[in-house]
Amino acid sequence: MSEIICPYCGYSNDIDALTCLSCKKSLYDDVEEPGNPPQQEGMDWLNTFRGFDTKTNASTLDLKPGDGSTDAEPEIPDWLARIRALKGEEAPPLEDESLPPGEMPSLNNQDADLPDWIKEIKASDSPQPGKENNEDFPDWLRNLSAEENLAPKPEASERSGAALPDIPDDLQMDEPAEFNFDAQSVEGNPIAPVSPPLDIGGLPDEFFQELTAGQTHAAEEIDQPDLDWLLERAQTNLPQEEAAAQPLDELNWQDQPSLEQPEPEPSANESEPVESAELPAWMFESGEPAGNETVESTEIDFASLEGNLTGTGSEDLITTPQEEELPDWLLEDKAAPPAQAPEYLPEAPSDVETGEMPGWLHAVRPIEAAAPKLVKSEEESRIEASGPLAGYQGVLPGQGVVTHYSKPPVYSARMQVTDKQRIYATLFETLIADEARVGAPAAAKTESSQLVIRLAVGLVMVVALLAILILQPGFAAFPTLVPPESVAFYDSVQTLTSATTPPRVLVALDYDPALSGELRTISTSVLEDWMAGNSGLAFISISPAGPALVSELVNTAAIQIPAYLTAERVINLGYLPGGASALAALANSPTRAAPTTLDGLPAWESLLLQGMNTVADFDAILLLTDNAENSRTWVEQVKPAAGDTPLLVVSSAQVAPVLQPYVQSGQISGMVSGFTGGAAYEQLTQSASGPVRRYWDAYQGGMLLIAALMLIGAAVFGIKNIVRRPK
Amino acid sequence: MAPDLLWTLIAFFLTILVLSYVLGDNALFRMVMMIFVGISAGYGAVLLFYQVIMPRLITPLVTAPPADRMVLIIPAVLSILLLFKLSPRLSVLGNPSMALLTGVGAAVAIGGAVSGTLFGQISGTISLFDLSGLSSAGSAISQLFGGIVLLTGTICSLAYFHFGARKKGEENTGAQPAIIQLLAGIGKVFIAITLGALFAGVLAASLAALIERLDFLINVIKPMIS
Repeated sequence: MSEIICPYCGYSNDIDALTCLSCKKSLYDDVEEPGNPPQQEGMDWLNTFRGFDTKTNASTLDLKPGDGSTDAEPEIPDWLARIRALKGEEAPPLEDESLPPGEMPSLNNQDADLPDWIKEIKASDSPQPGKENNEDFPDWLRNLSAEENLAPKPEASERSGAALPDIPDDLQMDEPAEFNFDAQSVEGNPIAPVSPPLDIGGLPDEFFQELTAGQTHAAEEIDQPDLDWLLERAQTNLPQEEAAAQPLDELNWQDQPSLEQPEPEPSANESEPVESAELPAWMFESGEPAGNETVESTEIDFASLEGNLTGTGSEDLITTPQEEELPDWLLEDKAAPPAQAPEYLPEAPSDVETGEMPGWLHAVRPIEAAAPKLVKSEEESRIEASGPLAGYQGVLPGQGVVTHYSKPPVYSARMQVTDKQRIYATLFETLIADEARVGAPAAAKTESSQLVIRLAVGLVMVVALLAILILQPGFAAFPTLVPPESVAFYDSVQTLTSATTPPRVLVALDYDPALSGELRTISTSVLEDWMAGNSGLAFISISPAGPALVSELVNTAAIQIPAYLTAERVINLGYLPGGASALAALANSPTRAAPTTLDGLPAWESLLLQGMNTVADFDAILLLTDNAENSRTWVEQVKPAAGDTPLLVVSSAQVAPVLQPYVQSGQISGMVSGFTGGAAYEQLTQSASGPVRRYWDAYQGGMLLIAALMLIGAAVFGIKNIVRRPK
Repeated sequence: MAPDLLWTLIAFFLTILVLSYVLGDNALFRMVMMIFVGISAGYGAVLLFYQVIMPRLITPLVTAPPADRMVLIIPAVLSILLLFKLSPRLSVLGNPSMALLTGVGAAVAIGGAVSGTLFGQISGTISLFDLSGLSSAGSAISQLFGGIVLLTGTICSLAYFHFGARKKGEENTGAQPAIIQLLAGIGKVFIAITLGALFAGVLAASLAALIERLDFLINVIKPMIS
């Protein structure tokens, strides 16, 4: 911003200034004379208030009207004069000026447009014609009303400086110095920063900081003691009584109408009420409309508030919601035609001498006063909108960081599973639930009944078998139909034992002691036949308990064949460890796989096994087994090495279904399985006192009993299900 | 008292205690089981030491010629390494022995299964359809019918254990083809018959063992009564 040097005093003024801030003289020759100010639109209300405030101020401060009024005229501030000059050039003629005073729109003329409730309020509050209802008003307000009623409506041609004498000195002096901060800072007035010492009541400190921070940075650096001269000057401008009663520092600007009245930069918008929503609450709490407007004029951006204004006419003023809270006198003042406000002339030089600005103050004046205004960046000109620094300018933009925060991410402890995994989990859970649901009641129900059933079945079986074994009724006949494998077994035994040379048989004993009762019973008849043929028997076992069972079996069988020399014809090769590998080794080289007997003697050097090197050298291989796996291992590992040597099997009944395919394929030459096979073999050998025949009745009776119990159990269970089903 | 009578009485009471299982699992039955397991283990250990370790490892290492001793060192070392399996920290040292046992055992089992079971069973099944050696038409029909039943049972049982499912496009329906479902249904019947036969065999074996034990009890009690 450039500056204009006053041609009279050389003071540097702002380019927008019309009069010198120092000497108060016009900076331009073509400036309108003070006695003929331009007609200003929208200033009527301000002029009205000035007159009102003048009176009010005088009454409040116990000043006599007219005291000092003429002195104040030349001290009209330059900001006001400049604004008047600009308004006079730009503002069109007021429409209201053409109207005679009696035709001015008044409040009464607009009552028809008002709602009933407003009319009632107005009727109750409005003064009666011919009677001033001023008893409740303070003195200054009554003076105001009286003056407004009595004051003639100024004509346009009469607008000179006639009304100026009513402006007190304190108003003319204090307005620019204490409230028009913007004008002061722009004009580079170094004394502007001293205005905050005034007590402004409800205004927060941030307000003044906002007003002064961005505009008078340099002025803030002035020390407070250096401003004493300014305080003294202000006190001299105030009436002596007020100055004595109330120090300048303690002045409450809300209590002084003169301090609330001025409008720094009057415009058309300022004359209109502002929406209450746009104003902070503290402004309304003050209860002083004039004061509020003062604050708004310095703080609010009027351009931004333009859309919130209700209008420019007096009707809009009346119908605004805010006016419900305003007294009638104020409504009447606002409804009065603005063109009737008295015109102000530029202040003439007062009797107070204009002081020369000290050099040091001139040096520390704000840079904006002398130098062109720095173009502020967007960040510097930005006004903080929220937070504790709300309203401050030039604050670092922390709003986006501080206010626009988001909650910290919440990490869930739940497992991240896909839909497919969730489906599988649900399916698996359903399966488990079904199992638990089905199993629980069954277990509870069978817990007690199982013991009874088991005890009953066991007792029945034991008693029945004992009875049959003791009584030996002989009701069961031996089977007449003999299985082919039993016939093949019998044929093989008869063929080998009927030979001229006694056969040498490798007997593999591979059963556990638990089933020795069955296998010993079956094998006894077979061994008796082999012993009857004076066969050489070489026993070997792949079970640790086998060698002990060999002795029992041989001794049991030899009882029936007393002529058979077990010591010479029987050799026990003992235990063959290693499972399938041992059998493979035995098939390839029996002399290395089982070199010694159970007694530790060289097995293959005995008379029985002398000259034998392979399993094929045996005349037959007899397998006594109750284990399907071991039986298959014998078939798989030994049979291929045995060649044409028949593999005969005496098995338990539980192994027969597994070994039957090998019998069908011919890998097993003959098989006797279970008591049924033993009975068939004894049937073939025509043995009348075989061990199987002794147990045959009990076996058949037990099988019938088992079958009967199974049928009874199935029938009972089926009936239970049938009975339960309707439920 | 003669030793035979003493052992017969011990066997008698042990048999009674085992039969007490008909009342449910009880302490007497568990005691007999523990006795049986302990005796079996002790007997097995003694048998192994005297039947395997002594005559086949220690004695040859002492008495055998040096050449045979060198050969016996390998199984001796492997046997010692196998003992480290008892320690969790040093069990890794027994891995070579376990590897040897597992490898040799698997190779022997697979070789025996292929040559002894697979080829043998295939040959046996095919032989049922060889009617050249049969003398009469009735035998031929009977053998042919048996071969057909056996072949049908084999194929259908294998089809039952076919768990694959065909995809329809990109979607796996989980459903088997219709022919597989039919064969599996038939195979289920054959498998049920086989399992029934196995169960009957187990029951028959158990019944035979029970009869033998009851006869033993009778033989013990009968002289006492008489």
